[in-house]
Amino acid sequence: MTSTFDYPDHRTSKLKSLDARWKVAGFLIAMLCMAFLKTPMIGVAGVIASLLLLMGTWPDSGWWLPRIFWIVAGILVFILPTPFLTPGETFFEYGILKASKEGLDTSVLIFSRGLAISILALALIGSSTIQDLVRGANGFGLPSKICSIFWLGFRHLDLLSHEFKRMRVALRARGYKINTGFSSYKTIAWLSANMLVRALDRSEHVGLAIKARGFHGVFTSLETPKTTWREVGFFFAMILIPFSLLVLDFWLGN
Amino acid sequence: MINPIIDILQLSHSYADGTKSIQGIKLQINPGESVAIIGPNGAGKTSLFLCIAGLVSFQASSFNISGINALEGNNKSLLPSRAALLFQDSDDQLFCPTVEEDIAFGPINQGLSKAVVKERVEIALEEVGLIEKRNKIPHQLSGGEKRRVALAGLLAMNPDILLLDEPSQFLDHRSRRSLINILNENTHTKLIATHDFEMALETCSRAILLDHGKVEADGPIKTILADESLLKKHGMEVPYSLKPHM
Repeated sequence: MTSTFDYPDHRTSKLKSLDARWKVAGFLIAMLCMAFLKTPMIGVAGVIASLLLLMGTWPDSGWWLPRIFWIVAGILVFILPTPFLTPGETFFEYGILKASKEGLDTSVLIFSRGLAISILALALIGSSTIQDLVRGANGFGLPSKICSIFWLGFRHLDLLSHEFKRMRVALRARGYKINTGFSSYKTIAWLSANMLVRALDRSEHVGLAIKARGFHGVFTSLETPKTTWREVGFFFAMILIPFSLLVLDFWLGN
Repeated sequence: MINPIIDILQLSHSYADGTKSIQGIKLQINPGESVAIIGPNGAGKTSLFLCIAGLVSFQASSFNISGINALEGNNKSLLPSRAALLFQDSDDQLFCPTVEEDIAFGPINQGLSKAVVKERVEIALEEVGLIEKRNKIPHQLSGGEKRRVALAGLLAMNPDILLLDEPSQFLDHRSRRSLINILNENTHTKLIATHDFEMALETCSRAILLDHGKVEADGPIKTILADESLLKKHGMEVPYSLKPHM
């Protein structure tokens, strides 16, 4: 089973050697631009641009392709009813169901915004280790405590997902099959409670382990971050397209 | 006369629910000694290590670790860099994205310069024989390799004392042998909490038997581990190599 928390292999990303601070800044600005788009057509253009960026910088699609599939499925659940719930000019009718053009536009806009932002987030996650990205965010002034919580939280989720896999195998080894019966729900409740207890136990151990190695809440690394022309060039290229889309969107919107 | 590197009197520790895990322990360990801490589950071995590493609250009438009186001022916070603890489960200890970064984690937190940290990482990697794994992701390593990376993380901190909690647990024969060799070549003062008596016989000269948070026996390892009635009383058995054979 593929775990959501399996680490991507950032070594295959073409952005791997760039300073994480510039990557975080460039991607965050691009994501913000996508969030402000108002025209469905420009939104779709945003998705295509994001996808091209992801494919161009991270050719190894094994990690991101299944995740994009799940993201698309997740967003569709929320936007599919919108055309049927928004009043306006009818473009499709089936019995009592009427879909409006305005609703469709809203759906496409929400879908494209969400997907573009998610694709950019995947490209960012795949371009560095999580620790480097958090360190990059820390370099931009995100408080160390929040960075520590994020970084250790991510590691913790990874451990929990492994714990979950082990417990799942143990359940199956004893003949458990998920169903809608009371005993099945009871087993799921026990499993969840067990996961919580183990999570607490594990977090205590990890806490002691980092304390034992002198961690005092400040991020440091063996690598010294460097800003070169490559970073500056990447940053401006990264914000140029989203800004252009935003300007075009503003122009079309008026 | 040699000054003991660990000199503890009347050490006591309780869990949050009030259960006493350690009750008035007296402990003296000389520099360079390798001591096996043995005892049944729940005897207080891990709690003792957590106290020595300064990671939990405790009471004691005297608590000197490597020349530091931990009962004075904020001295307890200095203990982790003097007495480095290897956890039972290496997954608790390894959380950085690469082996190299993980080993560097402790020395960086000690405030050392990057050049010194890199040198220490290099030496530690060489000591545990994992130079070629330096760029690997720690949690993708085998159990034995994880244990060696965790140990390298401690060695890179250049501590005076190594506290090893069940170091051979879950290791296969080859990894266990490799660990024993590393421990035997290492000159640090070592306290090894273990149920693996054969490994203890190979790596330690002295044994301390703990049960119910108290020191029940202290002496040469071969004498303690050959004492059938003593071990039986505390739910343990004489190791095969010390049993008289036909």
